[in-house]
Amino acid sequence: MDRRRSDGPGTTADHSAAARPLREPVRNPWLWVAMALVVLAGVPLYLPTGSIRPLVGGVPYWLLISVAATVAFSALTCWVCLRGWNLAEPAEEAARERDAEVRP
Amino acid sequence: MTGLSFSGVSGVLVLGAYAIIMLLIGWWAGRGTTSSSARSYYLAGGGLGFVALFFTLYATQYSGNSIVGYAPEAYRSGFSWWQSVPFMVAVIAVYLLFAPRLYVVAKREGFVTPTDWVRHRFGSGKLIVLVAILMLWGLANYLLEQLVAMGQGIAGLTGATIPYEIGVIAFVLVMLIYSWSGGMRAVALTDVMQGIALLVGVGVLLFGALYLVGGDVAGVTTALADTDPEKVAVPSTTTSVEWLSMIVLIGFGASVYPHAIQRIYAARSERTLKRSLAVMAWMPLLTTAVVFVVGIVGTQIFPGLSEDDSEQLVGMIANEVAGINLFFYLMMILLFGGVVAAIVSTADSALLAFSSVVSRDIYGRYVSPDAPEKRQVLVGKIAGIVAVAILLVIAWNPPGTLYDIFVLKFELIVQLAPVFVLGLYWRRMAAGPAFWGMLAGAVIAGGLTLAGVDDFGGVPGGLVGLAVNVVICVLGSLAVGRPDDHPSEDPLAPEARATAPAS
Repeated sequence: MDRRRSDGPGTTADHSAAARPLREPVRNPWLWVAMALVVLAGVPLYLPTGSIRPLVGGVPYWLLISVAATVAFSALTCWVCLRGWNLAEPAEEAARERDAEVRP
Repeated sequence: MTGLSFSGVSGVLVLGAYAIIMLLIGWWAGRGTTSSSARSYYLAGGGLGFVALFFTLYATQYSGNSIVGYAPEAYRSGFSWWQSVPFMVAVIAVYLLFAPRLYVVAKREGFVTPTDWVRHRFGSGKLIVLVAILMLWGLANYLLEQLVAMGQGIAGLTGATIPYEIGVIAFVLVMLIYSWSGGMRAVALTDVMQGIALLVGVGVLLFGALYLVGGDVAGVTTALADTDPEKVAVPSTTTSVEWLSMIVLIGFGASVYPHAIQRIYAARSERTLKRSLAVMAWMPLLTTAVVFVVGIVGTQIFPGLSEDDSEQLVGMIANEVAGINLFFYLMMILLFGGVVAAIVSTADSALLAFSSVVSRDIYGRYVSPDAPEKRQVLVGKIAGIVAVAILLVIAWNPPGTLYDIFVLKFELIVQLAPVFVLGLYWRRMAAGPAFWGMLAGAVIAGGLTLAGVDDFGGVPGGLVGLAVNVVICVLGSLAVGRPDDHPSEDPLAPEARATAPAS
C-alpha cells in the first residue's frame, strides 16, 4: 500500500525520510496481523492451565514465552515507528531546508 | 506507603530540593512564553523537541502508581502480572493506529484540545459536549488518584514528618505555580527531571530488592513454585482473558487520554514524535517489568501479607533496604523522591489538559465565545485551581485501593476511542451514531461498575461497553451515513498531496 514519492531522490544510498516511500502504519494489514500474533503469543490462553515445568533458570517455561513475545511486541512497535511511518517528515524536512537557505 | 521510619528530615530535604528544582525549571520555561496564546500555553507552541517530548510522554504515562501500585499487584497475582508490561507496550501500538494521521491533520488545522478533532470531523453538537464531559471526568479521576498517591508518598518518604495533608498542599502549590507560569513548556521540562528521577528510582528499587535476596532471582522463583504454585503456574482461562482484555482496554484507553493526544499536537515534527514513541515502546521493559520483578522478589522477603498489608510492599522493601547501610539509605530516599516526582509529573499533565478542555471547549465555545484568547487561558488556569481544590477535599478520604480507581477511569475514557480511530479513516461514520454509541458504552461501563459487576469471564465492563459502542457506531453509520459525508483526511490522497506545502 506504499506510495512512492515521485519527487523523492529515490537512491538506495539515501536513507533520509524524503528518500523513503510515504507510509502510514494503518495501511499495512500484515503489520496488524503480526501485532495480533505477538500479543496473542504472549497471553498463555493456549497453554495447559496450572502447568509450571519445565523451569528454565528457575523461571517457568510459559513466562519465558510471554517475555519473548513482549520483547517482540516492543521491537515490532519500535520498528513501525521508525520504518513504517513516513507521512509528514519529507515535507517538514524540505520546509526546514528551505528555511535554512532563506536564513543562513 | 505510610508509617515508614527510615526517612524523616533527610526526606524533607530531598522533597524540598525537588520542589525548588521544579519551581526553577518552571520559572525558566515560563520566560518569554506568551500565556495569552492557547497554543503557546497548552502545547508549547507545538514545538517540543525529542528530549522534552520523550520524557513528557514517559513521565505522564508512568505515574507513582506504576511503582507503588503495581509491585503489590505482582506480589498478590504472581507471574500473571507480567501483563503490565505488554499492556503498556499496547498504548504505543494503539497510538500507531491514529497518531500518524491525527498529527498531520492537527498541524494543518491548528488543534489545541482533543475535542478540536471531534468538532472538525463531526461538527458542533451534542457529541462535543459528551466528549468534553467524559474527558473532564476521566481527567478529574486521574488527577484525584495522583493527589491521593502524592499524600501517601510524601508522608511515607518523610516518615510522617510532613503530614499527609500538608505534603499534598505543598506539592500542589508547587505544581500550580510552575504550570501557571510556563504551561506545557514548564510541564514538559519538569517532566525531563521527573522522568529521570523515576527511572533512577525504579533502578535503585530493583537493586535494593535483589540485594536483599542475594541476587538469586532463580532461587526466588523456584521457592515460589514450591510454596505458592498457583502464582507461578499458567493462569486460569479467566485470568488469561482478563490479561488480554487489559491489553485492549489500557492500550485504547491510555492512548486517547486528552493529555496523551495533546502530546501528539505538541510534537515539533513527525520525526520527533515517531522517535519518541519508538523509544517509548521499550520503556515498559525498563519500568513495569522491573517493578514486576520487585513484586515477585517481595513474595520471598515478606511472605504471607494480607491484601491491605501488601499495598505497603514498596515501603516495606525500601525500609528493609535503607537499613543495610548509608548508601542504601540514600538510594531509597532517591526512590521515594522519584515516586513523588512521577506522581507530580502525571498530575500536572492531567491538570493542564483539564484546564485546556474547560478553557477552549466549554468557556470559549458555550459561555463566552467572543472572549479573547488571553481570557480563555486565564479561565482555564482558574478552573484548574478550583478543580484541584475540590479534588483535594475528596482526596482526604481516598476510596478503595489505587488499582481499583485506575481501572475505573479507563472504563469510561476508552469509549472515546471510536471517534479517533474510526473517525479518522471511515468517511461514512456519522455524528449521531457516534454520540449514541459513546453514551451507551459509557452508561454500560459505568453502570456495571456501580452494580459491582467487575467483568464477564475476565472481560471488564468497559470493554463490553466499547463493543456496544462500536456496534452502534458502525451499524448506525451504515444506516444514516453516506460514503462521502466527510472530506477525506488521507494525507496520501492525490488532492491532499497537491495542497501540502512542501510536496
